[in-house]
Amino acid sequence: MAEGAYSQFLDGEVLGRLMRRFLHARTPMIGTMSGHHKSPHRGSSVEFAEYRKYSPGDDLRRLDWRVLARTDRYFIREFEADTNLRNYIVLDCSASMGFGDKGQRKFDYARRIAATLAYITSHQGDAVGLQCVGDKLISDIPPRRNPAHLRYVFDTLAGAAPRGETRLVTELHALAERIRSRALMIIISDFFCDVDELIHCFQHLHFRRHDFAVFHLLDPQELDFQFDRPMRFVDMETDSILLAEPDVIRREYIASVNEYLVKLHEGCNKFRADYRRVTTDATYEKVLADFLVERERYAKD
Amino acid sequence: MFDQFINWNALKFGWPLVLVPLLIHLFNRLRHKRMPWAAMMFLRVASRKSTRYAKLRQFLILLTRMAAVLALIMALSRPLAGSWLGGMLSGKPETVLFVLDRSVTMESRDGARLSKREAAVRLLEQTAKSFPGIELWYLDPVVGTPQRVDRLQMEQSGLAAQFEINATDVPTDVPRLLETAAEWLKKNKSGNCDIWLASDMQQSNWHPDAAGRWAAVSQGLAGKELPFKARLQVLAKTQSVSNNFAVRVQEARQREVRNDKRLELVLKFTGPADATRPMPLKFHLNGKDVAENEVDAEHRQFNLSAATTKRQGQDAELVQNVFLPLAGAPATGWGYVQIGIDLSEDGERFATDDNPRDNRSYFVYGPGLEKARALVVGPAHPTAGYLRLAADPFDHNIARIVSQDALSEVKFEDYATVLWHGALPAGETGGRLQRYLAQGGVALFIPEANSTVASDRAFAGLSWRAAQAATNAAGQPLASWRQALPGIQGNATGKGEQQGGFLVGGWKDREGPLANAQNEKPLPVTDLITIRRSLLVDHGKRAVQHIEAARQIAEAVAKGETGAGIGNLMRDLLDALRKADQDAQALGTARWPADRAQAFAAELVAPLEAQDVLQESAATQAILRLAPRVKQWAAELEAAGSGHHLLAHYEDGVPLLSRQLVGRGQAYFLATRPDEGWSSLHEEWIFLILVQRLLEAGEALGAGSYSVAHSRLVGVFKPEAETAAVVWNAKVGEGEAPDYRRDAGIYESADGQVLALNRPVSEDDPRHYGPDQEHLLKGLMGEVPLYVHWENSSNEAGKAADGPKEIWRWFLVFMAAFLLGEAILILPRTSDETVVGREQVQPAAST
Repeated sequence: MAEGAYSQFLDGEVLGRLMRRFLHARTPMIGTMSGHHKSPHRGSSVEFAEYRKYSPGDDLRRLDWRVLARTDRYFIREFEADTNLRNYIVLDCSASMGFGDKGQRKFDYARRIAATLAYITSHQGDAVGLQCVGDKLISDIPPRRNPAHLRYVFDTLAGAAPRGETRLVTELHALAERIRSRALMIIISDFFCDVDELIHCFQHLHFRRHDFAVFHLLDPQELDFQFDRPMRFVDMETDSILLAEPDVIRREYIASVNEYLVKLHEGCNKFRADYRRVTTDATYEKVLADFLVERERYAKD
Repeated sequence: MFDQFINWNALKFGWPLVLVPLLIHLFNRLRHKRMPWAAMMFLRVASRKSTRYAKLRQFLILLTRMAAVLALIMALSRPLAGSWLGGMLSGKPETVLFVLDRSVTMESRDGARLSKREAAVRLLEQTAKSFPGIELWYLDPVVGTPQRVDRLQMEQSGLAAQFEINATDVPTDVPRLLETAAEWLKKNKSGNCDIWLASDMQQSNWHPDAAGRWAAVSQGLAGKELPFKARLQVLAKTQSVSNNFAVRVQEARQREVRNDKRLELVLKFTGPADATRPMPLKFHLNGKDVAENEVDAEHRQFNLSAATTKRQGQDAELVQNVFLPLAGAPATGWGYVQIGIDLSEDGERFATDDNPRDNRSYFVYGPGLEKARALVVGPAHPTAGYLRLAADPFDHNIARIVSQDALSEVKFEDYATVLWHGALPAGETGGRLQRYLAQGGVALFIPEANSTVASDRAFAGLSWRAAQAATNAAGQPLASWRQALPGIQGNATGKGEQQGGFLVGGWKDREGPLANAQNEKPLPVTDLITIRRSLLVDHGKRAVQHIEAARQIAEAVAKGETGAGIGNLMRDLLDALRKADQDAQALGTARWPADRAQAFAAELVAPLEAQDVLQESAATQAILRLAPRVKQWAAELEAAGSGHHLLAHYEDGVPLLSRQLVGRGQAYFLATRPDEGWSSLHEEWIFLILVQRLLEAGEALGAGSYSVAHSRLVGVFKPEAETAAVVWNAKVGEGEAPDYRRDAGIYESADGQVLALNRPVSEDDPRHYGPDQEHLLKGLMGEVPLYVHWENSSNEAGKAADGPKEIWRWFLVFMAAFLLGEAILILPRTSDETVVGREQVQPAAST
């Protein structure tokens, strides 16, 4: 099962190329172990952080003797603390993710992204967890570092299927409350829900100081809306039916999508979400490479 | 919208196909491709915003498709339409009745290959094709009863194979034909009917003065009491006739000129006023042509350029006397005059004449010509002399005075006009005079000289009241009309200040005997000074008033409004019905036949008379039973008792001259007398004009049949009145086999009487209705729909320019237009808008 799951979601060549990159957090993380990511706390890394006045009780080993000698003042040298990363991957498993016009379902694309990021996270020594959200919280795997855990994540991904209405907003709020320490949250969804509620949800995550990235998965047909005949559209989540003539309503449809996208994008910018709009006709390697490179650049800055 | 459909079945059975697009549309809605869709939130918003336009578009598409199918079906059903599309909202007729004007004027052709009649026949045949499966009937003016058309035979050989449709000299009496049609429709219950009349619209054929007859036609065809409707479609063959010459023998009398017996013919020529070329004449006497050298050179031809009388339009009239030698000829003989024959080419008609039918006029002559045109009836009185003088001003002995006592030996039919002064005719004389009028006679009635009390005699529904005299300032009746003259010694102040007399208030200057002169100058009617006059009682009008009162009483009882008591109401009702009965009987048998009068009395009066007034309940029931019959009889009386036509009246509205139509004839009633003690009429020009015009009308109407010259110069001959025992054989005449019932010519009976028949005088009337007078025709027809298809003036004869046209091609054009509209509507809306930030990304390679 595990080997099958690996080969189902991972491509060795692609991984080989992507593994040259490192998944950075954009904000300091609070981990339980030492790692490669900045921590809001001062620690014992080699990277100087700042001076501060000596207080009684401070470790005299960290007193800067040279400054004392020159200025006759007591200053303590502080260094950055490095900690590990806890990566929560939230996968939207609602029925709408099952849409795929040319055989490529959004859900499959999302699983591939989720699996690759989980693999990269795990192999750079960070903890990775998985939350599958459909009409309820389908699976909730807390972050772990060990390889066996990665296999568990892969098995869960392989067993997941898109069904039911989405409860993504509710679950994200719950997740924001539940995860007390700062963590990286990667949300992979089509976000077909009320955009205001979604933005409110991002605000909540931002308030909890989580670093969160948003993979907004869309099928090209959902953006282009190119049909040559009247259709009977069936809602994948509720099974309700709508008769429509695409050529008549396309203008309004595009306008509606645009309004939604603009609003969502602005919401993400406002709350510092790392927004990625992904159409399923794009190669996931490029999508992930861009994601990693940009984060790497951000981390260096 | 459309008259008929050649392929009616296509529409009848094909119209449900219009629903096919609708069914396809509904079916397609079920067959829309099913598409699972995730981004429903955007779809719902877009759909909500576009719903109104989308529905409108769908509706328009559906509409254009259905309209296209309908247009195709309409094209396949091959509808026909004339130029009257707006008026064609009524349904398809169940019967079509063709009527063909075969009068002389229909033979004109204006240089065309076919005469108007021949072209009209073709049009009718083409029209028949427009009514597939519908009963066709043909009403011939000569036969007088509709005959069924064998469609198959007509399509193979035309109408001529079944009916006599050749030219005749019988005038067309349009109202009579329509009356016949109405009676036939009523009798046969033929259903909705289209009457197609082909006519040249000669006004004399339409008898516009016969208001009563037209009212009857309108009532008969409007179908108020009948379950059918009729429409009159007139194919108006009105192309102008620019080059037609005609001749009529007005008089033929023997003369002794220097011991040389000669026949003097008074000929009247008519033709185009711009004719400059002399036209040759040919004379035929007693079976052989008169040699050219026997006729004076100036009498061998005529030239209309010398004419002084111009008629309406471009016509000119010329009266010319011609003398023919009678040496060696029998004392009684016959002959004819013919124009348009080029004597150098014997037997060939003059090529430029548009109507050969009026180029010949027949006459007979005999010894002791008795010239009688007018019959003056009345006691010996100066008035009789005045009347005779007005009828025969040149003392040609054509007016005769007869007392009422001697009338038993007089045949009214021998006279064109009867001038009657004295008590109105009654009894057997009255009946004979009624019959004479009904057959087309003309009579003038003036009051009795001593009519101080009202007369109980009525004629044609009219009777005289006691005379009314004008008085002087002292209140004394004036003895002479001259006393009424103002300032007779020289200080005249004008007629407007005439004292003690009755002034003329107005008169009809467009019709009737007081109409304007040919130069449109009015007659000096206002010069008439009247000091005594008789008032008319219109029994028809009174009868209508009485029956109307009776109807209101009956209706009041039916509504339960019996405030005055049922006994009083019943007495009033009976009184009103009796009066109506009396007045109706005064209309005369021509207007209120005896059987109808008996039925009226039996149905309305008798039941009430038998009813006991005291038994209120029974009386009420009797009135209720009677109420619907009273209503029906009221309508009948209204039709029969149509009032007289006022031609002139005094200032106070009292009639001066009235006309009452009796059958085909006319009865005139003059309120005053040409008498010193009554009026200045005998000294006025209008008296002479009035009488002469009545004579002319009598000649024209009287021969509603033919003018005849035999032992009298002008009389009345009525073929229908002849007994079957008399057989008239043609000696010479119009057509290949002349028949005295339809063709002009010379006819001889077995006992040796010779008869000359000519076309009616009315056929020489140049007035024709034109498109600008269509409203007059519609006025005549009343509520009966009338559609006149005027012929194009440049129309070639035989070309069916005015017949219904097929318009199926238009529907193909409509269908193409609808399909084009549909194609435009269903074009996909090209929208190149894209989502913000959307880039066309190549599909992913296999990963």
